[in-house]
Amino acid sequence: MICIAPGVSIAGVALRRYARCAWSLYNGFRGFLMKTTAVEEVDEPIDVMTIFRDGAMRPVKFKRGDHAYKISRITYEWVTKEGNYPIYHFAVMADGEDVYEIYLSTLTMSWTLAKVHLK
Amino acid sequence: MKQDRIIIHVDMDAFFASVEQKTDPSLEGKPVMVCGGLESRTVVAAASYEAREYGIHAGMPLAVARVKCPNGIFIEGDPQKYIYTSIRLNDLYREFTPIVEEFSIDESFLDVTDVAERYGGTVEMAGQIKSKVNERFGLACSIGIGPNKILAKTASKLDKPDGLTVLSREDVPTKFKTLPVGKLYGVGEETAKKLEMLGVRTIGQLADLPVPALKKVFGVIGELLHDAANGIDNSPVLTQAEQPPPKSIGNEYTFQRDTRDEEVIHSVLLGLCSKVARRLRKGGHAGRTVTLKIRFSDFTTISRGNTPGGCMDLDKEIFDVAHEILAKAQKHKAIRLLGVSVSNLIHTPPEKQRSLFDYSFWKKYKKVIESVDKARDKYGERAVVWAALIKRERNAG
Repeated sequence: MICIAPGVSIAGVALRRYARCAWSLYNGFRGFLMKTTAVEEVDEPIDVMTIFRDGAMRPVKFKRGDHAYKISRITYEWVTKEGNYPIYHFAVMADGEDVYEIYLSTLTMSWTLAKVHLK
Repeated sequence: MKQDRIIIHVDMDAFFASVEQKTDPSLEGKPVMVCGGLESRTVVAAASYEAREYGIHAGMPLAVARVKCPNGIFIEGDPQKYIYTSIRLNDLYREFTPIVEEFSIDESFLDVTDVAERYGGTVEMAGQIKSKVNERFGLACSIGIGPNKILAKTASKLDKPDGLTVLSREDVPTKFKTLPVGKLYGVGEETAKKLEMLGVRTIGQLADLPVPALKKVFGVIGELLHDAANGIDNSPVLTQAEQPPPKSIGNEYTFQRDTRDEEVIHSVLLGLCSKVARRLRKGGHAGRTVTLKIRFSDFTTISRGNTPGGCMDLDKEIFDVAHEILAKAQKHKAIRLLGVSVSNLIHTPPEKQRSLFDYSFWKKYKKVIESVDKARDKYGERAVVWAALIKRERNAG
């Protein structure tokens, strides 16, 4: 075996390079298979059609610009506070797989589109 | 004979990352990393189990995580979302027992000694808690059951994710003591290194070391380590009302870029002092000692304290002391991180003694701050902020 430095063989160097290359190819392939998600901060006022039933609130439709989005699923909901005023947040799925984060501020009594999870 | 306690430790699996995967279902099954921000100098706060396959773990710098997992999905965390979920989770645990200790944002201890039988036994009860957590939040948790907090906490780590493990007293010699010493609660990286130098690799080997030898190496915690390694822990599960008051209150800030810019440094310092002061007043505390932590660009870190006399809970009081320390400690090196903390706390602050000359100024200042607090209580923390902070935010874009 040819040594280029004490303890370092050409075969060893080649093997390490091959392993590194194979690992990056593998990662690249996984990346190709996995769609990545980008979250866009929007912070835009929107109109939301909401159903109040059994002490709970459920947004069913929202309008952004001229386009109306039908909410097919609420994926997560949480509440934060602005001083004494609760803010109701919803992550909703509308128009296919896209997820929109919307919230109702009870201080301003207005809905805002906070984020869009783009595919 | 006194009945053994029954303690349950609930540990949410990859909590922040799981919440994000629920928020956006397209992330399920993908390597998700939740970070404090998306700048290269932040660290990973939580990694999904898929990301852990790449060797990613909490606390890893974002730049390293990007190299290890180039196809990973990096998400800026939403602390409010996790805090809300954590509060709701603890509400759910309190439906089973009133004795719940919120140990951290994603871990809780439940003392179920008096209630387990109602649910058909401890394991059945733990199973019901897991089902309810999944039903209400769509999240998974690992549960450990033991006669004390140490054994319950160790048990919950043994079968992650979605595990349910019991460590009884009978299991101490066979299961518990054979575990690597790093699995013992209270043994961090540094302690594990020291123990390895002493030839200690398992919990059992630590349990066999005499207390005086451990005290010599680890000081006061030597005895605690010895007890823990023998599965002995008499600490109670403390509800929120029983928690001892804090010993100090502090905040830290890492600059996006290392800086020497005095204006930027001062406005960050003001912001930190203002946050700490507000937290002190909200909790009804005041402190005598202000400590400033500075990390320079070469990662050398210094921490300097000053106790000027009298209790402090106002922004300007704390800022004046911190600013004086900064002026003395700054070595014309760029700063990476600043931290301000107030200790030596008094929990019902007495009326301050001021000198005759500055009395009227502080009286007026206190009134202003009281009004600011009222506005913040009603309209939120952003309702009133220091002008210098708005300027910094505008400059940062």
